[in-house]
Amino acid sequence: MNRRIGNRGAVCAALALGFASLGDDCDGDLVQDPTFRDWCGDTLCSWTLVAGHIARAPTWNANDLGVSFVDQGTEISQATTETSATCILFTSVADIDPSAELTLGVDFNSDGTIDYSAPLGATNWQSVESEITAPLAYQGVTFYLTKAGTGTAVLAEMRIQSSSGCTAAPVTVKDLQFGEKCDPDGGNVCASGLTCFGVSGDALCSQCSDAVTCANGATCSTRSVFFPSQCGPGQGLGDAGAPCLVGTDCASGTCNGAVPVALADEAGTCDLDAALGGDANPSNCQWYGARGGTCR
Amino acid sequence: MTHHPASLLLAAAISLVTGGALADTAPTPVIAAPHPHAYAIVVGSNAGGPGQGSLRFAEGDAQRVAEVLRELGHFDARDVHVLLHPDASQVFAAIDDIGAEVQASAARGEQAEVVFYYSGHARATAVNLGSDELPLASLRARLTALPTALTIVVLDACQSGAFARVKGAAPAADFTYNSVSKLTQKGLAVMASSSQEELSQESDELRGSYFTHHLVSALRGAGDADHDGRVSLDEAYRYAFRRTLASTARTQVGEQHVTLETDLAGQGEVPLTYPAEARAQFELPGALEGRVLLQQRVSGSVVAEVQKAPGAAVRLAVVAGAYDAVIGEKDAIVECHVTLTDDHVTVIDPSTCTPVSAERTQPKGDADAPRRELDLWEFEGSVGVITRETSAFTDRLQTFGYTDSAPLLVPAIKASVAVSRLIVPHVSAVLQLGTLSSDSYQRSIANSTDTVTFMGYGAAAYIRTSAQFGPMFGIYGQAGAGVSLGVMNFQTQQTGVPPSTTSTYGGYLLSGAVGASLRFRRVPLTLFGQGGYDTAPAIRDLIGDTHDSGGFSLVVGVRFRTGDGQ
Repeated sequence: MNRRIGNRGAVCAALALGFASLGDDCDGDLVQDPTFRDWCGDTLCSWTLVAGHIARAPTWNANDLGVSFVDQGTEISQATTETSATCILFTSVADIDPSAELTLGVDFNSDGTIDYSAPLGATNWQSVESEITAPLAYQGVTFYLTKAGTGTAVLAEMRIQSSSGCTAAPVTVKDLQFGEKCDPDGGNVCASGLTCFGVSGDALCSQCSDAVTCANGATCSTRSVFFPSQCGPGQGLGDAGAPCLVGTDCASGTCNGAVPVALADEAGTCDLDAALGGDANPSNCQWYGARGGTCR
Repeated sequence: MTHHPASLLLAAAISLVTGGALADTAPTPVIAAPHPHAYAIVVGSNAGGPGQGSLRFAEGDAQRVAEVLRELGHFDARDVHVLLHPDASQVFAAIDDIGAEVQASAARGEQAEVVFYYSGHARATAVNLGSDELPLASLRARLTALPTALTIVVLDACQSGAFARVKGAAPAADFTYNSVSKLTQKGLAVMASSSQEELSQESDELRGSYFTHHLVSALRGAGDADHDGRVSLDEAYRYAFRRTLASTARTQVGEQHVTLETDLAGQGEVPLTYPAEARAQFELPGALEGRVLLQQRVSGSVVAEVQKAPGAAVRLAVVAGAYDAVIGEKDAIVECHVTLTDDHVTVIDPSTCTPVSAERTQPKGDADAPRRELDLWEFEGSVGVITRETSAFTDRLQTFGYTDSAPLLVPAIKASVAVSRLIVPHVSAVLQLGTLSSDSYQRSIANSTDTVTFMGYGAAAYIRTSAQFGPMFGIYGQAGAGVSLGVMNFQTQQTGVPPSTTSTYGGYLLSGAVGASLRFRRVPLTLFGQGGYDTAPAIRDLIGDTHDSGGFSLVVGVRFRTGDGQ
């Protein structure tokens, strides 16, 4: 959903004057350096050059610079820890040649899977806005900007802000991992072999549920409300490739790829193996969830 | 100042004609008295010496003095020698010629008198005849060497000034004082246009110097205080003194006191002119009170000016012909068209004349008064406000996240200076330099601020047309075109670029305005207020958007008249 706007600054000024409480529309950037002004040598300080080559480029003024996506396939990204934005507003000001295409990609949960992507469209320094409804639950977002084609693509501004009032359906997040939040009413979007289980809003991709029983009579249980349901957690029942949170969940004693996910700023530190090892009561990881791994 | 009038000639009584309706009566004869053979050397020089500007009326004054002497004095026309713009040798030659004639007269047993009149520039020790100087000591020596019974020297020495043209030497080196002290000798009378520490002045309105104008009016009869039909040296002096003092009291240069130094023991009264003998006379009735300006209808030149007090009638002797008399009474100004014929005294009746507006009584009017170049120029300055216009350029700034720094609807400051010159009456050419609109936009993102400030300047030539409503209030409109300069400063906290850069852009300027003016009469200033619109698209961005630094403006200002003004 793209729409061109001609005078966004004035709208923001008016909002700021009359409706200070709506400041999120003009502030609250989810990314750092949305105007590509901070450069560390030949690359942007706050954005990661994933592929290709970028360079400074003049915009309306020779000394008001933007970023030029030089090569075909050039891609930059920025990961954020955002977890609460329900509506995300994108505002871009760019000069994109018709023979080029600049695509915005959004990876909720920063798991490497692009959950939403849309071209910014060919413009000549017009301001273009779009918005998406965030998934019901996610843990962190990574934004990607990727150039295709050979023409000029200079981006002066890419503001990404938490907004409100989105009316479109939430982005469907795909292939959620063990322990990631999911929507039990949105269909099974968990990775193969997992099921979305729990109360809406707190449901997690789990190994088992009321409807999906464990093999070999194992008990389906959870270490806490923040952790997914497992078949015999801490009993070493997991075969190779089975979902796990710590090594004691696996027959091999080794769980690869599991990471704790802080749920609050006051969460402190959490060592899953130390906290959960052999014990199903994660007292040291009280404010943590986890993105599970797989047994070796 | 000393003054020693004595009787030389028998005064002749004349009867006064009292006023009534415009009427013709026969001139009253004057009993003629023996008179020496009279010679006159009348010198006028407009040209100034080094550091002196040109005068406008000195040569005209000399011609008027010569005319009145020929018409009303007992001078043969050939004995009045008029020298316009001469050099010193020509003046000396004229004195020598007269000296020879006086000697011849003396040989025949006749007495002779000489009137020497000079109007022009002067310094402390000499009169200036253009680039040539006539030393005062030499002039004195030549005049006093003449074997005359009486020598009358009339000096109207002048030097230009800024507001009213200034005649004469600088006050620190007063010409009149020195000249009197050096020229006064036995049988000599010197009348000078100003006293010590004073300057002498010309008048645009009178088209002559104040002094000579009033002296001529006196000689035409206005100075005939005892109504004997003759104007004596005393009478002419008293009239010229009073009227010159009154006329110059309101000028910027200040009061001018006419002086008379005489050493005429045994000479008695010295008649200069005999208006009663003139064939054509113009009489102001006794009841009339006010200022009377008599102008020749064809030439428009002011023949005489009289400040008439109630009481006795006053007669002016002029050449027969058509005249306009403008009479300013207490409550009204009237203009009378009269035709004077020989052998008649024409008595004027203001009640039969035509009322005119005050403006028409100003001989300084646009149509008939030649103007000095200096009078055509004005300098002006103004300050006010101008709207801050939005444009594709500012829209683009907003697209990039910039917002206007100034509160909504607050205008920018506009200031300008200009010089104007009158081309034809009511139409001036104006050259103006000034500021146009200015504005500032800011963008703050992530604790970093960028500021764009831009301002316009313009230089344009205008044509201004104006109309006056009364002596002070006027309206005008002007339109013009020129060039504009846009200046944009960009300040940024971005890394890798200069923190401040300034760019300039050129473009055209179109402008128009209307306004009203209030002209002061006693100071050379005019206040004005005007509203206008400018368009000056000069500032551009890299994308191609332009910004118009013009807008609607309201300004107030002041104009300074360099001379007597436009």
